Amino acid sequence: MKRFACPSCGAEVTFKSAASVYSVCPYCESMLVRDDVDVKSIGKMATLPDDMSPLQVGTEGQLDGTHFGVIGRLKVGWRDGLWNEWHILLDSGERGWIGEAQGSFSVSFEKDGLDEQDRGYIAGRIGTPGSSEGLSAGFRISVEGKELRAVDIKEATCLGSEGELPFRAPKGRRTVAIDFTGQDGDFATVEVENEVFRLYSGRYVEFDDFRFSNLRPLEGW
Amino acid sequence: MALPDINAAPPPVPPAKPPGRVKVFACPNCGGAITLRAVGNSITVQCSHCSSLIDVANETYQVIAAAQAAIAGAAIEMGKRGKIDGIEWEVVGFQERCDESGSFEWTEYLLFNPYYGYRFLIDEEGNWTLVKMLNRDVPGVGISETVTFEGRDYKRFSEGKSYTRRIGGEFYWRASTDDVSDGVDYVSPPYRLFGERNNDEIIVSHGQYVAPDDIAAAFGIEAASLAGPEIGANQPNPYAAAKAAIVPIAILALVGATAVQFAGLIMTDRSQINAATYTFTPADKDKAVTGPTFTLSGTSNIEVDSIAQLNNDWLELDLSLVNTQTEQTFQTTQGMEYYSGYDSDGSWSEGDNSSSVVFSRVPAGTYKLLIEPDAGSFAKAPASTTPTSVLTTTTVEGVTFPSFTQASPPAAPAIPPVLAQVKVMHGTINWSNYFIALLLLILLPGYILARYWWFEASRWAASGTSSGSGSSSNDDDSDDNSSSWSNEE
Repeated sequence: MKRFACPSCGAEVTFKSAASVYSVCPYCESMLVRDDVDVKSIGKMATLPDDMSPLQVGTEGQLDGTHFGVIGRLKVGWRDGLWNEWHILLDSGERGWIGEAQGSFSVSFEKDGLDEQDRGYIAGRIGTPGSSEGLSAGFRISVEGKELRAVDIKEATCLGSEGELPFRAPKGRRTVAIDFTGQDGDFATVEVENEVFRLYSGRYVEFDDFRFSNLRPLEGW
Repeated sequence: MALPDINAAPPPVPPAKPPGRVKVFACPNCGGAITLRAVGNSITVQCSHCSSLIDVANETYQVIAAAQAAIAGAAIEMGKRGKIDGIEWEVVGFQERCDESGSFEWTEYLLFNPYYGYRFLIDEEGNWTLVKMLNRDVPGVGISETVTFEGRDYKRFSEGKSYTRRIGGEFYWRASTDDVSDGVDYVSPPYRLFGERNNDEIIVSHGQYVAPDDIAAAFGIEAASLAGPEIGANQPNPYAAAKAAIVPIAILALVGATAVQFAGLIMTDRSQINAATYTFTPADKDKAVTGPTFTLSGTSNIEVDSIAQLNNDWLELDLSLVNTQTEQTFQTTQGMEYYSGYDSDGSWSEGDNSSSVVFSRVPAGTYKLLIEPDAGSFAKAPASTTPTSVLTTTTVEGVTFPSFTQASPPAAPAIPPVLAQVKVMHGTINWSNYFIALLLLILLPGYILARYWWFEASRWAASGTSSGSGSSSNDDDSDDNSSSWSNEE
């Protein structure tokens, strides 16, 4: 863990993961980017839209017996709604994501090597960057030997972020996000940001199976 | 500056984040207060005052459409909470939908819990199904007649378009009274699979039947107002449990009763009617010697056990059991033989000098037994021998061969008569009890099976036309992507 003082307000900002390069000051909401020795502000993060998510930065849980903490969040919007990508740091040092959309939770980890053919299929159908018009749900890709089917295609825009993240996530960052499911609850998402393809894969997990603690208080629930 | 200066004033502490809570805002159309319950998820909300549809995807809150048709008098009110299977749900939205013909209508309630997300509660004329999105690929949905999910086979029930007529509350999608969706559903009561697709999304959901009483208890509503007369697509067959329970029992009972009955045939206490020893002479050949006369009070098996004294000879008895009133006759034959001698290997013998035959299921009545004997030795007899028959002992148990007396002196050279003891036994088998038992054993399972099948027939009679998430199998296939389930590369 590394601690820095926020260059804007002086509040303590921690980087729990060595891989985190970006964090939002919890006090003044300055977006901070760090290198090995220093941290600088690249502007102010807009206030995140309200939601009823039971998670928050600081929530802890278990994944296959390994404890993790939620260290950051990306709030993503698309034409017809919003979702959360919670960045988690496991005690094993691995970093992953909990996708939370309408009360469904997926867990995924970034993987190398989207199959070249699958990448070509997607790339060939994304005309202007950020546009998913050429794609339609139903096509299949192969991830770690499993065949997964595209079930959800969205043009996503970052609405804001909090905590620490492994990349800069200013408001307005645009991607095409394609979700895939398999027959056994497998989950994968391909995120296309301009020419960059990122593959994350994992599975859907029921809320209770995380055995969350330090959840966010929800009035009336 | 890499580290805060510990001697400086303590750094500011981040402010506590506000808890998650409902959001109340003024309707941009009428100014009435609107409560947003699933904050962050809902993107469309209908004002409960003026029925305007408001876009809440971002915080600018714009009116999408004024005065959409609003639901009046839905069974469960907005904002009501109820526990189903241990999870508390809040009703946040509902829509009245119908099939293409407009004749089949149903209501879909949208239930929300911030920890567990959403469920749909579908009310199809009193048949309630709780539906959860699956987040997984179920192969064959929309394509096959039967799909398999978690080891169960689901049969296609219906397919088609659904139209939204009225809406209320808030939704995580752009709900509107213009909504039309394409769907298909499969049933394996009490479960049901729903498939819906458009260009961007394929959604497979899983539903389970909920008894109206459970809905009533969960939401504090009077049960009587919830149930309906129609059979639901995934309503559990009320006779399924009885069928499952009674059919094996009935089969077991049938097998058991039959086994007992046939065991009875074999093991029934055989009481002796008569035992007599007869002396058969060549003169008796082709003549009927009269045996005992007896009365049967019920249907019986009559067994005739005979033992003959044979010495290198055979004896054949043609037995006729004649009903003295009706002349109805039962016939059978029994044969006995016994040969013995000496050869180089010593003494030998073969054959069996006893025989047992059964007249099966002889009805009640008075019968006499007629015996026509023939023996190997009789053929050697001169034709004119005087009939001699009879002799007599009526003994019970134990084979007694009384000394033989002749009615008239035999012509020499005498052919030795053949002595045989004939025992008549009966065992009463009560077939009527058996058939009454069979009838009873078949009646109840038969009734249950009939009700079961009638229920299934009624269920499937409604298939293909309408359902909660699909409707009217009207095959005007528009060949765009949205109607294709198999979007293969």
